[in-house]
Formats: sequence, C-alpha cells, structure tokens
Amino acid sequence: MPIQKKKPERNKIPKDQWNLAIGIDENGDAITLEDYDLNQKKRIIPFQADSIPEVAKKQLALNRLENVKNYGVFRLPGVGKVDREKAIELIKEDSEHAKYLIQLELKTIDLMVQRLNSKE
Amino acid sequence: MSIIYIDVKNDEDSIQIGDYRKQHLYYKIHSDVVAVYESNGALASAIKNGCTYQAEALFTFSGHGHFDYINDFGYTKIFDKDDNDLVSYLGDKIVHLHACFAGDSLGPQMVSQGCKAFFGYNDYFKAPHEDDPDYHLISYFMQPDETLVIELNNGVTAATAANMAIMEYENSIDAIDNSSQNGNYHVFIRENRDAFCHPNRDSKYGDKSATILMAV
Repeated sequence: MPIQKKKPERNKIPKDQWNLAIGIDENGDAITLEDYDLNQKKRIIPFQADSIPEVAKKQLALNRLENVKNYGVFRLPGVGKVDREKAIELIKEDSEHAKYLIQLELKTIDLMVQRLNSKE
Repeated sequence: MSIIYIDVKNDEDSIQIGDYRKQHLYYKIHSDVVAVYESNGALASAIKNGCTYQAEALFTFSGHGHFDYINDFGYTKIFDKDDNDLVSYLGDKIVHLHACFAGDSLGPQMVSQGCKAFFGYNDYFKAPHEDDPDYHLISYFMQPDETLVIELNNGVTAATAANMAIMEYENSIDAIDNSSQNGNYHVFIRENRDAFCHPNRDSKYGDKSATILMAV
C-alpha cells in the first residue's frame, strides 16, 4: 500500500486567510498573510501580533472581520449565535466578549503564520 | 456499572449540545444508564437524590457551566464549589461535565471532597452553530467527549479514557484543518483540546487509575 503523503502545513491555510491582515504598518495599511509570505526572506515585516497595543489589536481584529469570507458561526454563552456581523458589533461596542473575540483573531493569525513558517 | 446521565436543556445553546448527546451518545450507553435527567426533569433535588442512591457511578452532565457551579433546568445550583457535602453525592463517582469553565474551580473541589476522577473544561466549550454551512463538523467537536464516556463505560481507567479522548482531539484537529475553510474553527478545536481537564493533566483532577467497574 502506498504511503499517504502528509498535506504540507501551508496547504491547510484556508483560502481567504491569505488576504486578511496579520498586522498594520506604520502608515495604517494592512499587512496580509500573503504580503508576509512574499517578504518573509527579507524579514521586513516584524510579526508580533500579541505584543501590539490594545487599540491596535482591536483595529486589526475589526479589519480582519470586515474582510473575512469564511467566518464559522458559533455559540457563545451569554450571547447565543455569533456570526461575522455579531462579532464586529460586540467588538465595536466593547462588550464583555470583545476581548475574547479579539484574542480569537490573534490566535488565528498566530496559527496561520506558524503554518507558513513550518518546515513540514 | 451504572451511569447517571444529565442533559440540562434550558436554552438554545444547551439544547444543541444535549440533543446531540442524546442522538449520538445516549443510545450507545443506554443499557447502563440507571438515572436520566433531561430538560425540566433535570432538577437539582432529583439529581442529588439520584446521586445518593447510585453508588460507584459515572456522572455525565451537559449544560451551562461556571467556574464555581453548575445549574439545573430552573437555574438552581446543582453543585457549588462552596458546598461542603459534595462527598455525599460524588464521593464514589467519576464526574464528566461537558460544560464551560467548571473544570477551573468546581472540578478540583469535587475531587478534593472525594470524587474519584474529574473530566471537564476550564474555558468556553466552542462548537459550530447549526446555521453554519459547515455544521456537520460538530461531530469532530463532540467526538472526544463521546469517546471518553464510552470508554469509561467500558471500564477503562481514567488515564486511558483521557488518552483516548486526547487522541480523538488530535484526529479532530487534523480533520478540521483539512476540511474547513473557517479559520476560527481551526482555532476552536485547539482551544477545546487545551481546555480539557483530566487526571493525566493534573492530580487535582483525581486518580488516574479510577474506574467505574469497582461496583461490579
């Protein structure tokens, strides 16, 4: 039986994630995962999503949510159904769930960059 | 072998998980279920009575969880971290709470009062909503807990059941990574795995060698 080849990590990145912001540059422009991939060798884009100020985290999360095509609908206790529009609303109004939803975007960025940098 | 089976279904969130368990888990274990509490039958007093009469059982629960307590159908606390009589209900049991947060404080307190082993989550338990086109992926989110209950019911030790659930998590992560275009689902399944509390993770979750075969 032929050995099944393992899918390379970068092939597990959902299509629309390539065009989503993983950072915002000093001019306020979005740096996408694709930009990061293209410029990775030059190391011109520092990637430290978690170390950026809270305001920038919120801006980054909103930028991603406004552009994402595939945002899995889920349930959040105390809120109920959360889709892309609801997530934007909760973050904009600084609800008690905003912190988690922003953190979720940062974790998604982290996972996608990890895959991009994986040797597998 | 006996199982105390509880699905507190008092809002849309808990109905989704409870109904899923009923359709996919209950029929696999029903012959060993000695007491079932669902919907408006899932009341704290009835559940506590059931615990008193059933020794050496697996207590498996779905519903809303909090750091310190779990509620019944009418939002009365069933068990609270500050209760000092947990041992009289759970002292000889393995407890599985398919609920958010209760692994944080309530679980360790149950163990410190004599519960043999505890399984649960110390964060939100995330799952796809039925309105999502990828709702069928919910099976990957539910499979680890399903395997856990089935294996404990088969009489394996808490340590073995935990390992099998963790293996299911790795399978589920692989499946979601390869089949879902929803980036947030890729994160959710990992968050659930990381929030999963069990005796192999920390002794505050009980005895790795615990089983529910002891009463046989």
